[in-house]
Amino acid sequence: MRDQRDVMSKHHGKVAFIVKILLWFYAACTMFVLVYMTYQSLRPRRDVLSKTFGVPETLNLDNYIELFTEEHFLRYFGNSVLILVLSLVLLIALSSMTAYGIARYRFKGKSFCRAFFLLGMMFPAQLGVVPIFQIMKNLGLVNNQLSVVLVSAANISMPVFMLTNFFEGLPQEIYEAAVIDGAGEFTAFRKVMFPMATPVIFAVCITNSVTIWNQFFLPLIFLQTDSVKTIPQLISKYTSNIINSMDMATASSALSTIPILILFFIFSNKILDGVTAGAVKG
Amino acid sequence: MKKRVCCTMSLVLAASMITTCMPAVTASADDTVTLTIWGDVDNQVTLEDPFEEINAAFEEAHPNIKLDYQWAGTFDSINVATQSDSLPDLFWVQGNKSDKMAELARNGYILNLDEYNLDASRYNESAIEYATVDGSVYCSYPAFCDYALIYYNKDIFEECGAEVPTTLSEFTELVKSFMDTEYIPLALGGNGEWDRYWLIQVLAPAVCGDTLEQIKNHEEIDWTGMETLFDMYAEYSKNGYMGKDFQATDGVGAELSFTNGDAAMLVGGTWANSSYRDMGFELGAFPIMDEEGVTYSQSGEAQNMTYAVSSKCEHPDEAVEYLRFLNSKEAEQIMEDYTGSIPTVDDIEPKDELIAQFADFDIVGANIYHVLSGVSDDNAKPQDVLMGDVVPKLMTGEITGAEGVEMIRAELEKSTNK
Amino acid sequence: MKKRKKRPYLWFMLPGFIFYAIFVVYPIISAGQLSLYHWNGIGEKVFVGIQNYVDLFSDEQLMGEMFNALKNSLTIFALTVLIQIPVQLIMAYIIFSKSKGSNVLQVAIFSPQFISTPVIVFIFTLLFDGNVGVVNKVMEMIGLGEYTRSWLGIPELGIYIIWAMITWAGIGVGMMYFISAMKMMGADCLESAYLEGAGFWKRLWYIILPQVKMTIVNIILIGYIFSMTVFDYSYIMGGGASGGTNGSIDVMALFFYRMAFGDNNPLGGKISTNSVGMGTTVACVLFAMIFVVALIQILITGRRRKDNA
Repeated sequence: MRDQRDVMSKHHGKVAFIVKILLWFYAACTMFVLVYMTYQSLRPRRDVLSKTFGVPETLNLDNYIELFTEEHFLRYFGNSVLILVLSLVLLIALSSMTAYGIARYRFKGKSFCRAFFLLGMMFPAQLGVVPIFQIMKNLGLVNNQLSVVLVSAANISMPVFMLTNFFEGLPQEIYEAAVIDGAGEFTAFRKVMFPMATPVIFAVCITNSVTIWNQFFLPLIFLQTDSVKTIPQLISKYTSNIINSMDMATASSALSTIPILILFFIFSNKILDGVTAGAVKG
Repeated sequence: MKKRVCCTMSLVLAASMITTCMPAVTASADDTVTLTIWGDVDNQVTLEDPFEEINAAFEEAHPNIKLDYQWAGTFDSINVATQSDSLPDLFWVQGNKSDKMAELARNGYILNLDEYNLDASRYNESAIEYATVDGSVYCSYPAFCDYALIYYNKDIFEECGAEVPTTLSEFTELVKSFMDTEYIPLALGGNGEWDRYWLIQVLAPAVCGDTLEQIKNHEEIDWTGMETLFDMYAEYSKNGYMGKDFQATDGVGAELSFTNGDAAMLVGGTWANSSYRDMGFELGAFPIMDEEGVTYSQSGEAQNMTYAVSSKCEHPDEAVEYLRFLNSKEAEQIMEDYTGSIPTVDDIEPKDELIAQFADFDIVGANIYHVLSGVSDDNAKPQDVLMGDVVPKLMTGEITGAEGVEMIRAELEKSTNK
Repeated sequence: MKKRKKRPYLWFMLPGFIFYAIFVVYPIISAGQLSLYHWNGIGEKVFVGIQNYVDLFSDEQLMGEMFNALKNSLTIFALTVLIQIPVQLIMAYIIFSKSKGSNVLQVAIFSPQFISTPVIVFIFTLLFDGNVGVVNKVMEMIGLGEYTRSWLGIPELGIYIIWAMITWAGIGVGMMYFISAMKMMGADCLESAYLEGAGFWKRLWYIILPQVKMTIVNIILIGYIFSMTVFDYSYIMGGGASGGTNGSIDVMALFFYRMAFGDNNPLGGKISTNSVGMGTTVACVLFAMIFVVALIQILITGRRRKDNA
């Protein structure tokens, strides 16, 4: 891997250098915004409103302490994490199998299947909620995090779309080699094909985790008691009248962003080192 | 292999079923009744504390009733609950401010409260009207009101030697006089349908109260008042009274300029008064006045304590008991002490000086938006024309007051229920 | 081997299909059905056939609003294709080529994803506001005080500002897909290209681009779908479902929302007697617009795949 870095990053030329500078500038702006948000979240509300640009009177963690003690931030956080993890596991399982089924085999109606699984992306989610609500009511899952998990995990359009394209791009030989080795269909999928898709699955995980983590409408409808509500519901409680509770809004937003960024940083580091790049080469 | 994955998956599911909180069990003891209530999510921050205390007081007074108060009531969630027949026992409603409650009542989704004889003696006519659909009562009565008015920075007033005006022309002079200072005379967000509208609502009863009254009562309409109002708005905008670039500033921006001490006055609502307190300057407020010095609020009941009972509720007597409690002085005073709303009921003690000032206006004037939406139907929506066409175009100087009036008039012509 | 005769693809697709059918397809069908009724969700439900569609396409006001919203949505789409995707590609390439600190870059670029939309809008206010914004303060400091403006609210810029926010928040997603596509190829072909003397841009153009062209096509489609369904930025920026001054920030999804749920506003108001009927009708039209494009895309790429094979 060392070699790869050396080869690929050297001698990029002047234009590349300028592009990189611009990128760093962009990243710096973004970081600045995050830092600015965090900075504002350390100030008392009154101070932010009356001297938005002035020298802060105090900087302290009072807003955060209030979030943890009085506003039960951890409970909301736990709910969000629970929903995220269960949804992702289920989503990846469902979508990778579906995509593999569509991509790997030749059968009539293949194009139809591809289009069929795309439908979910094309419809505003708000409209379909009444029938789903009825189903959840019958299942007794209203006011239970599982309702949000099931609906989120069923939203497989985009992952299926990405993964189908990936699996179709794989050379037939790999699959055949696996089957010749005596593996059954499912083993071939699980032991050979699925691991190969790791970069795509990683990308799917990242993007979907963002969607699931930030989703607001589903929890709003299905989760009614404060004890089962999620982070976006907590944040919207503050943002619906942002002047009145902007201290809590910025603090909760920072608090729900930064831990994930740290995780992301660690996680992406590993992936970026190209654990999987070799698999396809062979 | 598939079996194993299926097993794992169902295990995960089952485990999550167990670990996730199952919904609380309903009525446990024999004669204890549990009522599920949906509060107003959008205002949870302000209403959370008062309702905690109100509900505790209620449960103490009624040991046989337990409350499961959830912050789950939004337009969307109530829509979904209505269509899937799963409304909670009690939920927050907007009374006659929209026709939602009327629709719910006419289609039998909420309980007619006539036979329970809620005590209406403490409430004024417009509060009773708020809770009434087709002559029957459907929700608890509102004890508070909200209206738009002018906030001002007393420190800046003192510095510039300005006085609170006593007539409308004095007000305009006052606004003008701040043009020579470094301050924004009258902060208002021009970028935002509602933000830019508030000045219209504030001025309307003082300038064209008669016109609104005629529209409301389907009488012969004299439009001159409304033309004056529109011209006034256009002139304010043209002269830059609301600050440089006000058309591009949103409501939050306008509020921030006021709290930062950059604006002498702010067009705002009484509902937001707690946002501007304690900002390092002395806060004052006055309602708008007409040429004779008569001060006006605009009618608008507060929805913070108005709840309706679902017709599917299994314990209507207990649910109505809760409404009765909401309409008690005890509960209303708790609400007042926390939120500082403007009481329309005499026996409630205003929270402080400022709230007492708010309550000190001469006349409850007409609310222009309510008047126009009150005469709207599926063909004619004058309130939408006002918000979406007239006000923005007056702001940008695209139309004159007369043209604005013509647009409203033409829309009213389309109405079928004249 | 017996399994193969039993059509294994069915078994692979079954679990996904069941979930998908129940929670995604069934609601769509049920909405399609509702678009044939005159209904507001509460009152009486009257079957009117395709009358809602006729109304939508014959009413001048509605058509005007829809075209304006469509124009804005397509503007977002065009900007996405012309600006955002190339930038994403370059970002991905630079991160992929592991220049120094690419991890930090990646996290920084991706991070706005996790901030909730209302807070993003609020932060933009704090940055670009006319009176208390950082940008104007900086401009004053460097002597550009006379050019300060309330940047966010300039109506002519409306839809571009929405796009800028969307891009700032969402640019990391496409970038991730490009990075993962680039990872699919070995470093050795890049290496050999490099040894042959191909420079930075040449490698990007001749080696990377062909590799990720499928991803580009996919992201264009996703961008199209996204621009037709994006909602919350316009909703929050315009302070409701109105779509801003003269509809300057109106988009398709917002138009749908306005039809279906009305303009939920601080003062209440009238709900249309046909909110659900017309709302679902707009949703179905929106759906058709996306579906046709998606179908064309699938057919084209499907054919290309066959050609390549």
